[in-house]
Amino acid sequence: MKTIVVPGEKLSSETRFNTYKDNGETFSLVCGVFSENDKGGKIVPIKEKYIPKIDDQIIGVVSEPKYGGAVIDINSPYSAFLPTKREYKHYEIISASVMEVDETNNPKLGYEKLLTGGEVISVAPEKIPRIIGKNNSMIDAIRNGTGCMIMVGRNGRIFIANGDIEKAKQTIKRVEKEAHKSGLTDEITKFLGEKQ
Amino acid sequence: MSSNTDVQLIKNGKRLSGRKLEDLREIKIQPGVLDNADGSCYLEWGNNKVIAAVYGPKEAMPRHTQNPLKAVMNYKYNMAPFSVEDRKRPGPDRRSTEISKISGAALSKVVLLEKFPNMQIDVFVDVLQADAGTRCAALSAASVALADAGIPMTSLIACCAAGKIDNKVVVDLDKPEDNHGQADVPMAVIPRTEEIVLLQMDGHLTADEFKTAMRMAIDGSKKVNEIQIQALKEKYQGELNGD
Repeated sequence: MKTIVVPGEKLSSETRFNTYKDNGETFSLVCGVFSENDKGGKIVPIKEKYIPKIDDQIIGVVSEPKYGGAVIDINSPYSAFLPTKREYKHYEIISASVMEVDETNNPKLGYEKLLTGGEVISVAPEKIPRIIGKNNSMIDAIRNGTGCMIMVGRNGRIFIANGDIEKAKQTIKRVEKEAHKSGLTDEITKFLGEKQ
Repeated sequence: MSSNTDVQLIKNGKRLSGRKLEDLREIKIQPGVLDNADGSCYLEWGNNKVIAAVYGPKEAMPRHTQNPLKAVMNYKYNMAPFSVEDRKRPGPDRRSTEISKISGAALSKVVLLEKFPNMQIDVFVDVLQADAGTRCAALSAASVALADAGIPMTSLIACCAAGKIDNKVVVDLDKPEDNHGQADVPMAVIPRTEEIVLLQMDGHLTADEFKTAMRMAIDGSKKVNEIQIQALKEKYQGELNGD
């Protein structure tokens, strides 16, 4: 059963993220969708800004090439720095992983790879886990259904190349919109099958 | 605010608007009305009409305002020139600067600013139509808009004013009561803990009257909080059900 919780609302079961504790009771910190199972509760916020964390795979756009590196726009209030010898140009798209985050949340990137010959779409960062699905089930379904090479960044950017790009975009937007539905993976697999 | 009540504001135990002493005006809250803001809320409180928009967290500018320990809360209260009977000269004035400062401080109490070092959270509230109690309406709307923007906060803030008219303590004063009453005490509280995050007073009250006024304002705030929660739930439950 999924319910909407608001900031300060008391939760019926122990929940780890987006909550705080007061007098042994758990309260919600955000406005979000609350669901619970045997292991405990879970809150998915209705809206969220991407805050970089170590080991996140992200897709960024070069916003300021500099000597010895580049400033990367990672779809977050915080901009990232990529130390590299390669000279990047404005608006080039890269995938990278977050190597370190300092105490003011400013990330440093590494293991970068230039992405060419595809399209980047933006989705809400809080919907990314749903787009990937349990054990990659959703993203694999979209990959198989469209024949696209799809790369998902934790920061809400998705790179799509080869195959039926339009269809992949359409499907991802649908998943984003209907993220709260149960049994969505089957529905999407069916939807992709029908269109072929 | 006048020391002597020259107008009779309470007749047969009822106020001019027909309300009882502890009744609030009708409140309507609609979150998420603006597409271009991260969070927003439109609120009608009696004849008050306010709209709140939240942007952020985003990089604090100018850079010298950045705080590496927490985000900066930037609250702007503004009255539209057409919000009052005589045209109001647009732009900030002493009154709106004061309200912006105290309301921003009230919100800073519940928003988890430490989560966003070097950032700023902008809250803009515009009063489209004023009918006494706009700072309460503005802060209640801002609190819903912040929740709508997905900003982590320990609780919503609810506001309500109490006051004294015809030697009686009442809750939620409207325009004639504010103009001809004896006191006005706007108050913002964290509903669960009853912590007071904003308290001002205009006029005179005895210690006992002040205690009664505080109790009434807290109870009024709790009613406002219920409406806030209901508005947020209705909006997102609708989306959850696919409406």
